[in-house]
Amino acid sequence: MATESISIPQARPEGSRFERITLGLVALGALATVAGLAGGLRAGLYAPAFLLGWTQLVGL
Amino acid sequence: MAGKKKVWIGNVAAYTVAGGIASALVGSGLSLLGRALLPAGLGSVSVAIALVVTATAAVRELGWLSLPLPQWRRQTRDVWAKRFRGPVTAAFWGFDVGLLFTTWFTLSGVWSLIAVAVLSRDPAYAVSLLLVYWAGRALSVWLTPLMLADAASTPQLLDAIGGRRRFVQRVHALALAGALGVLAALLFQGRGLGA
Repeated sequence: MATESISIPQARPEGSRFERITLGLVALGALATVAGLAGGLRAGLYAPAFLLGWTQLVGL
Repeated sequence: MAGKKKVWIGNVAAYTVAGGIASALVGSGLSLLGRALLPAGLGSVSVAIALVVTATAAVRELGWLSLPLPQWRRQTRDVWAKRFRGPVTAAFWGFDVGLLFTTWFTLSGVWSLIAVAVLSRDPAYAVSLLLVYWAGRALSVWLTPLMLADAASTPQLLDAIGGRRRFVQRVHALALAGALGVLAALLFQGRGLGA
């Protein structure tokens, strides 16, 4: 009887760290957006711009 | 080990500074393009246009709309690493990536920033916006050591992040939602993107 070996992909720790850092940046970004809006409406776009740059990482 | 760290920091610093210079050039260029092509006093119309572009990018990243990205499908040149020393190569890469339009981007949110930069017709604001965008891109390089399990695990890191594309796309869409909220507030107040 042939036995099949199945490799089960393991969650990579590097990916989890990346997610935690990203979620931390999202939280900071939300605060910064509110602060930016209070400082002058256009300034509220800085935090989204930063996150857009961070997530462009996938385009490596 | 300390020597290698110094070399790494030097290379990433060169990448960051060069990319910042390129981003500033792109920001000022886009705003001046806006000044050349668009009339002054667009007011809420400029915000409405930016809203449409941003919303389109957001629905694309949520997978609700299949839209090819207008872009130059080119990556920055590996061959530079063979021709030039570390910091020079890093600076070339940073400048190339910072120019935005000369390399491809897999996510569409940058078009929202491009629209805002053009429509603002305000070089100082457009430069600062693109610099902040670049800061986000460069930070991912600076924080790479925090995400690596060990010094040799860069391929695993890239693999792991690539496997989380859906998560990254959702965060990208969330950032666009944040931008939509800000633009909606501008529209509600009857204000434009200009100074």
